[in-house]
Amino acid sequence: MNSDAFFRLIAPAHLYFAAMIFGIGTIIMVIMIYAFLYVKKKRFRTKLLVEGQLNEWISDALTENELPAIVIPENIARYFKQPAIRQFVTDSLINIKKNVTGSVGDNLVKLYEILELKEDSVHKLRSLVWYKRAKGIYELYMMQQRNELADILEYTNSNNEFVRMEAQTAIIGFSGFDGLVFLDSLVYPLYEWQQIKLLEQLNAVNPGDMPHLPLWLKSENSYVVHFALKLAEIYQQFHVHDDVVLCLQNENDKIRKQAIKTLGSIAAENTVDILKEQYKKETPGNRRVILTQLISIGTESDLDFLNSLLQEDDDNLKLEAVRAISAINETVFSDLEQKSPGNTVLLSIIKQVKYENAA
Amino acid sequence: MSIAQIAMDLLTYGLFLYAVLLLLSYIFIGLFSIGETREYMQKNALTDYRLLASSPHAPSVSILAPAYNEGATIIENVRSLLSLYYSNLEVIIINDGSKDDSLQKLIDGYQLEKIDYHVQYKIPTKEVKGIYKSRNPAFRKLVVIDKVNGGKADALNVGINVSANDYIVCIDVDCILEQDAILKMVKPFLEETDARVIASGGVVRIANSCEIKDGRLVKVHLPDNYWARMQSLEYIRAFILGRMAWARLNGLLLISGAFGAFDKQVAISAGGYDHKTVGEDMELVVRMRRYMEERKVPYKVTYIPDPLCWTEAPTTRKILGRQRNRWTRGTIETLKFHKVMFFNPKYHLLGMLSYPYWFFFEMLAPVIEFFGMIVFVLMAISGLINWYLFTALLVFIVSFGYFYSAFAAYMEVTTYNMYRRRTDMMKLLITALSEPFYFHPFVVWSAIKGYVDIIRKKNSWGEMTRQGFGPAAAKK
Repeated sequence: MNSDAFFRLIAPAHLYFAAMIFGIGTIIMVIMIYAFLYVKKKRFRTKLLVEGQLNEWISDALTENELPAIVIPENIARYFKQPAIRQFVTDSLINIKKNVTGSVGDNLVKLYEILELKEDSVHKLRSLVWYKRAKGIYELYMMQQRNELADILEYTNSNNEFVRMEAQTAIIGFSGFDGLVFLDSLVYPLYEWQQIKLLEQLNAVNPGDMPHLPLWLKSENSYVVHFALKLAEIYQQFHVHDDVVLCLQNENDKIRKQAIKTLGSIAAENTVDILKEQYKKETPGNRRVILTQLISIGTESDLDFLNSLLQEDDDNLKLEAVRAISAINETVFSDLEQKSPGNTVLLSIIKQVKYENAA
Repeated sequence: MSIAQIAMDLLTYGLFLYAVLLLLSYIFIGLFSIGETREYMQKNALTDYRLLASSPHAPSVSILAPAYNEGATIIENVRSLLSLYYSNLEVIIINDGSKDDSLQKLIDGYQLEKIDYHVQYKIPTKEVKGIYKSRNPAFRKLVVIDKVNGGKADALNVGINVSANDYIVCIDVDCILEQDAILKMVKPFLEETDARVIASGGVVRIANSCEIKDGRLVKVHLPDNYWARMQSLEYIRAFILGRMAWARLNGLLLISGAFGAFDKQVAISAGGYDHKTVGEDMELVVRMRRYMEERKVPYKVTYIPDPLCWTEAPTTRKILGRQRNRWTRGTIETLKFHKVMFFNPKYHLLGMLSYPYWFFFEMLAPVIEFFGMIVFVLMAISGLINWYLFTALLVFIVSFGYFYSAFAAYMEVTTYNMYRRRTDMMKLLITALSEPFYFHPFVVWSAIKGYVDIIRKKNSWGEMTRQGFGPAAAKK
């Protein structure tokens, strides 16, 4: 580009034109800011109006065994046609439903149905937009709409992670441990976050025998294996001990770590020997987890192994070994101090463990 | 064509290309951040964080808060941290050799006793004089470390060494965290797939003039002070637009030292904080990324747009100038330490885009602007300025700046809308009008002073006097 052509390109007229566009853009942005704030404020006032009526209905739902007839007063009927207001009512009912059970909860569900909010949720469920679909599933589950179960089940293996997570949560909410059947065919990730959510949901439910657990422990989906190992640990599923031992060969060190923890929880006679054998092959982090398990399942016969670890370079491993020795045999632990004169690191670790034991 | 003409052409076209690329990058950042922020909000609309707060399966987290001469507010600050919603939590306060009575106040206030603890110096640091824990079960989450003074980076490294948990959240002890801040910060780590989440950043907002009670943010106000108000706008642009866009690209180089979460194992493996730089927060993120790149391990650095951390911004030219001087030195030092990555394809996006962007548009920008001002003055004196073209260029660039600020304000209003009063928003927009003529030149000048200090090998932090969040500091 020669200089003439260059200066033609950035000619003042062009620059002023562009500046005018930015100026108009700025004015539009400011208008949009205030329009947004205006709409928000207006909607807030409408919500206050609707909230008054809603509170009356909710109060009936909380105090009466049977919900009285619901009539939407004329002054707020028109607001009930607005999607944002209907969403507000649905959200309010769900928020209260989270904290109540029994007949009160049933009354809230009836209120949701009478106000025809279920239709909105079903409409969202059928939406092609992922976040609307996820919201639809969430609302139907929170409002115990079991008749939508079949449709929701389909989405437990959805390629959209949020639709999938809501569907999985809903199925567990409806069917408890039986709902975990979706793990049989899950091909997508089951995030740690979702695993925690499902475990919290399952907390109050009777686990039964979990007949599919061995299948999940052999799943090709590493997330399913990880979750199954957690289930086996938390619900002490002793019958899968050998399947869990096989997981120690997994390439994924997170899975091996969880398998070690699970074995600590469902230990059989040979578990400690298996873990000691595994110790040599493991990462420093997983070695530490093995030693942590020995605190609860180790016996006198493991003291030689633990004593040999006191020569390790890694202070973390020494610390766990000393903790395990202290848990297995208090006398051996007491002697440790006399046997290690001049070993300042070990003496410092022993002091720490003594403090922990006393605390 | 003479050499002088060639040099002039190179300068003209070079600067033009630089300006075009800079403006394009702003447009790209603005557009890219919209999708990321909206998606984050849609994704988390149904999230019930409460279940993580009390779940025994939630990951363990250690908050690391270095404190130096914070005696006046330390008790309140710690109480605020202990009240955060998260059960699997450890709050580690590192007393970095304070000359005041910080440690004694903590001992008295939280019934602390010195315990036997074997400190492992996984990252080399200054000596730890003692570790304290409370006898009172109400303060069981609290650990106080007393150490020889070594600076913020050294204090954080001690915290990492002592921390018992898998994730560390590094904060400034005087920051105000939202009650659910840890819950929200931990979630990205629980959503990792094949790419390991090594760090996560959160939005920092300006707390000046806000109402703070018992260490908690009660009501948000726009700062009354001009400098703080201008920084509010700056932070909105930087956090809601800039960092969200870079996070979407997985190209983020900076997580604010005021509030950031890290995978402890990776932080230790990468060597922890570097005490040889005043930009230790940026340097750690760059080093952790470099560590992962060199080992060819897939990783992610995430960012969440929720306003979770509130900090006091400098309210005087003097303090603000020191802060920007330090930020500039931190950027230069970090980029210098990791110069091997500059346009190095071995480091993928980090080497080919993130590093060059920071080099050209963050580190060099003040130099180029300052140089431009000098050339402008010289040309004006010599009568070489085409005033008609100059005015057009000035109007163009100023109007672009206003548009960008208005867009940032729009994004703020339509997402988290922290400044709810219409007058606050008007004040913010009016304040933005002065930015190109007053605030921005001052920031450039402070950055140039940073360059001078780097050349003079001055590496102090510079005293950062704060007014605190007492009732007098809050808006009446």
